[in-house]
Amino acid sequence: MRFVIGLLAALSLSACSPSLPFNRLIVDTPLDGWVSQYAVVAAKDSPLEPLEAAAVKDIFLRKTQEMAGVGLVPVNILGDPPVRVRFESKVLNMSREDLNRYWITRDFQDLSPPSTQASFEAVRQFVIRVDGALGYIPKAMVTEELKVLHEF
Amino acid sequence: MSFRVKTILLVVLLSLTPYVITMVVAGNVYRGDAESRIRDNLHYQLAVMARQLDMRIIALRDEMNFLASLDIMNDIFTGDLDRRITSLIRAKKEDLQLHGDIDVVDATATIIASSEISRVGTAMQEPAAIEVPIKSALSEQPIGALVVNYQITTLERFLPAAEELTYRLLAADEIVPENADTISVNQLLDKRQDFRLILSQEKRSAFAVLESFAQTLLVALIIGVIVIAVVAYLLASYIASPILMLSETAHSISETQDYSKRVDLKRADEVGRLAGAFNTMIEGMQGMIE
Repeated sequence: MRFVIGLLAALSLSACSPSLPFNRLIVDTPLDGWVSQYAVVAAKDSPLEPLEAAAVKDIFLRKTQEMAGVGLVPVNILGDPPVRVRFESKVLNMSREDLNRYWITRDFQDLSPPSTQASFEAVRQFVIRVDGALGYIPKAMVTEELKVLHEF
Repeated sequence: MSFRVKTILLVVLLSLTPYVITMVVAGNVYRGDAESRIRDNLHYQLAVMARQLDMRIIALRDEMNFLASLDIMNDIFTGDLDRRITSLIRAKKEDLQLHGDIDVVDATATIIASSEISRVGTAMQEPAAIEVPIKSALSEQPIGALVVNYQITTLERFLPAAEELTYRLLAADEIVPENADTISVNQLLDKRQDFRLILSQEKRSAFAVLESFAQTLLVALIIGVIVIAVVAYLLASYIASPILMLSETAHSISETQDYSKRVDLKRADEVGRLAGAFNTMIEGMQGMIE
């Protein structure tokens, strides 16, 4: 029943606001998010411990730049794929417009957004090879070389 | 050879001698000076062009510095897994019309991205024309380097194509061809000491003004010879005609024994006095005979 209501809500919203990206609608539906599909990961030998969403948010907004004696290097997935939209919505709890405004103001403080990688595999490799790096990938890609810090 | 011909030849010769001597000496001096000036001018133009090519090389290095500063270079950590660095340097190579390769090497000097894909995974070739360290906020040490090797043809397209002046680029150790028909100067590029820039100009073109001037002088010389020859002829006639007249009258009297003949010459100069003395002498001889 909730599935039908959610689908109808998504379709009606899509019809009313055709300019909104479809993947955004999927992420925003109550159905999506019941089961966490993605994980924020760090290298297995990283001193970082599992984190709450708020702590992950502070790291990705560069408010927290060091933790457990390690300089933190957050890495985003490139572009606007569903996972990034989901991450921004569920973990950062900010829209893309909010984020853009945020980074414009931080630019004056010489703070730049996290670097990006174009694929999950590249994110995985980056996290493994760079000290203090953390990024998000599908849980199915988590291997023993990685440590899960947060799931969403 | 008659007195008249001798006089003409003598006058022409005497008139032309200082002219010829002056032109030969002055011409040689001026030609030598002109060659020196042309060579100086070529050196100047060569230096300007070498400076322009050096600026191109500096601009190329600046481009590479810019590329090395991009955040995308952090993909070195993933071995350029998504080929983003490869795409970037291939596009840049095309944009710069670079005849050569742009490589990105990691900290172990292994090529992880290249405009020539077959080079990926191989070791960096040394020495490189341009090598720019890639620094990252993620590491205190450079995480790799951006390496460029380009051929002479990359710079050759910036050389102007002029009819009279010929610019060429050669490898520094290549022998500069000698040509007796051209004036050539050369120098090494400051930013690529293994490239030599050569500027040549054909002597025929370089001395065209001088040759034109020489032709004008030759025409003037021919006209001068004709004028002098005419003047010499008139002068010789002026000198020789009374002598001929005296000679013919004396010859006629000796043949005809007619002492009534006289030389009809009314001149107040030495020749006129000679004619008068000759007439007086014939008149005296006529009186003695009669």
